[in-house]
Amino acid sequence: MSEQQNQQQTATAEQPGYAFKIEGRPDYSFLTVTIPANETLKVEASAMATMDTHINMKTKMKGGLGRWVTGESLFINEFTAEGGPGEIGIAPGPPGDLSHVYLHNEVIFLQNSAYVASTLGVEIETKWQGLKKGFFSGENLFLIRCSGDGDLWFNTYGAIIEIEVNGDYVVDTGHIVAFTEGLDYEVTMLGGYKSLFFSGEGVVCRFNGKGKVWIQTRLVDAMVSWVYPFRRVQKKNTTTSS
Amino acid sequence: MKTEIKGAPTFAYLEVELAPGERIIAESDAMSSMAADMEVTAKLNGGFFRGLLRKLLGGETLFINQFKNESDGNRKLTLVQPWPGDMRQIRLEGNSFYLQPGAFLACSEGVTLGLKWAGLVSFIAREGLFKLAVKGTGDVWYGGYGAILEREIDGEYIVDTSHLIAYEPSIQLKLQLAGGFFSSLFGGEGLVTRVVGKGKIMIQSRSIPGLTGWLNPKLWG
Repeated sequence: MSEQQNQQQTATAEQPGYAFKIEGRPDYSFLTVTIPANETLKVEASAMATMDTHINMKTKMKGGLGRWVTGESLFINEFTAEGGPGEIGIAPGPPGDLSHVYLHNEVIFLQNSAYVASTLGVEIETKWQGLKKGFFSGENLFLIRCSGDGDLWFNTYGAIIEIEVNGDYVVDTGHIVAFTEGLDYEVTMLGGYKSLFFSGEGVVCRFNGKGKVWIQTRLVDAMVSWVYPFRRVQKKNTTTSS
Repeated sequence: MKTEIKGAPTFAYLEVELAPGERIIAESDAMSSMAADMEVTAKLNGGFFRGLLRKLLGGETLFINQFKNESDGNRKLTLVQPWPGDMRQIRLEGNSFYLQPGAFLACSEGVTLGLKWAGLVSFIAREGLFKLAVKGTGDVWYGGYGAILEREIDGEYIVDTSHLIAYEPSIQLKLQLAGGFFSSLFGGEGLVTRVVGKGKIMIQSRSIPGLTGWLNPKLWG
């Protein structure tokens, strides 16, 4: 039978927040959160897989138009457990792992597709990275800024590695999932133009300061360019008959 | 017959060892390797018309393969499913079990595959008009995309249709909107299934809509 390393957590004094468990780790992690009575959990649109019948779903246009630009789907759904505690199961889209942090008036930046769920005390907003950082990072011009007090769950494509940074640390841009505020970062080239074109490494993100970085062990873009040549395409100039 | 699910949970496969004279029935494209002297017979999936129905409406194939060990020693074969993910075994003792289209992998002798009218609800949810009912006495193997999780239902529970893979006959499915009209339309959840009754359901931790929703925006062009 399958061996699964499951993470189960209940609220304690040191670890406030909602009780949750993560099953199917690390390849196909699935998050189950128990929402206390009449409280609300924010979940990435279309990630809900199961829930109790007394949980009510509402679609909010959080972040407004900014979310169009970030490439994140426009909506975050709010799930409220009406009248009693309720359980919700959440399945991220990509194969990979899930991570949980509890924010104590802290700020974490997420790569734009990493957001999974958060409690109401966590404010979610999109933040412009600046043209150079955003553009050259090859990812997106925006990051998701999560601040405040509460639970936050995010997902990765592939396995997740948590790295304590003290000083300088270099991460390939596509591998960044999240990082704490207080880390300064800049997008630099690894060893000049020659290596940009020939080494396959090119642009990296150089973090500086003290904090934490979460990285994922696979790249979406690498996956895409790996499968892309094999994609079935409909030939142009042919009439579809059906 | 000795069987073991290996490679789980990401790339599960079923290893089968047949004693002389034993046989196993498997989905038509499931065999990935086997002993050379294994006898393979393609069989219509329960008669031509019923097989055809199953293919057209149940999401299964028209033919299924029977592997029989005609030699005098133990022989092995391995069976796989098309997608990455886990597999499960269920033992039937005269009872039945429902599988969503595509989930079936293999069964031992004594198990019959039947189509059951799943209702309009299932059709609207794009899960097909029919569901596969396995019944009899023996073992059934089935699989899903991602990890497979078991949920014990007593009362009512909501499951996204793309995550449900199997359930006990004591469970009924009802379709409903995930939220209000606006939320269901724009919230990306759309229609969900309300499972009602007392029994077990099996869900997969990933879904095709989840995968395509993640990957499609990256496939430029």
